[in-house]
Amino acid sequence: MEHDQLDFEQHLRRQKQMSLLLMILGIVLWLSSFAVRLLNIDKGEDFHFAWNLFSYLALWLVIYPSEYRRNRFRNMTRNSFYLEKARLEENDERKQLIERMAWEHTGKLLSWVLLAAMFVSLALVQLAVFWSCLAVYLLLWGSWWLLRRHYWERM
Amino acid sequence: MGNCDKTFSARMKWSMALSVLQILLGVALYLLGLAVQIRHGQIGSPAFHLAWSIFGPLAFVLLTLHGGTRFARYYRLLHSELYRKHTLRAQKDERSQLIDCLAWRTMGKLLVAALEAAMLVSLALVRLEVFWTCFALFLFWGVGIRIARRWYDSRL
Repeated sequence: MEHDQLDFEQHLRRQKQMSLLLMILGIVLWLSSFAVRLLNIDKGEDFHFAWNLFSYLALWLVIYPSEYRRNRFRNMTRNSFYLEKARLEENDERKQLIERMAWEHTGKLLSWVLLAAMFVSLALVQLAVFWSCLAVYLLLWGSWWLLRRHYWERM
Repeated sequence: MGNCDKTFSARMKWSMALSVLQILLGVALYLLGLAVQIRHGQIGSPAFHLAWSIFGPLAFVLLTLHGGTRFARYYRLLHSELYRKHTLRAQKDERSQLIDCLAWRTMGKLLVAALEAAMLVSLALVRLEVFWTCFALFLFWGVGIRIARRWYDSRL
């Protein structure tokens, strides 16, 4: 039981460090768009629009969620109420099932969307889009297969 | 119980029909790829033909072979009592469920990180088509997960 407790605390500490790293990465990405604007690179309006979008994406999807996660893990290490709540959530079978179904079915849907996108991009002779989709497709199934083997051996 | 059996049987038949469609789609895409290869030199660049030569067999393997396996599985589920029992037991195996859950979740998170990195690199190299493709996939994934979670939360 004590060993479990230590493992869990170590896991929390690692997650907290990871969130901090992610937050720093998000800030770097966000600042990079300002650097692009300051450098006055002449690559057309679309290029600057894409950079702006990317910087907001970094702000909303990397910085804020990682700050939220860092706070959550900090609360867990300091307050036993949060820790107990997290434990209960982790052992909640219904929640586990929802998570599994959501990730699995979105993954499978994405795989179909990628196949369709590959076909459409070939029909429209948009080869850059085709190669991107193929790479994502291979990454999706390759990493899934490797992770499954990894967990199968470990658990 | 009879009603339950009927629903199961109807679901299996529907899945089998979908698998047949999947098989046919795979064959059609493979043949299309072959047709493009045969007309080599008349249409498109070498990169275009290379892309088709990858996509044709890929579609065949992923759609036709996978569809065939699925069809065989549904057929056995419908006709073999022993196989059905075995599958149900495997579905209730907690370890297997946990492995599946972890594999999909970790893969999803890895994919999101890879897409973000690809967006950054494509912007740095001014490859805007790649950027928009990754952006669309990123949005699809992010929104898809949230919708799926809510949907299952209200259903389960």
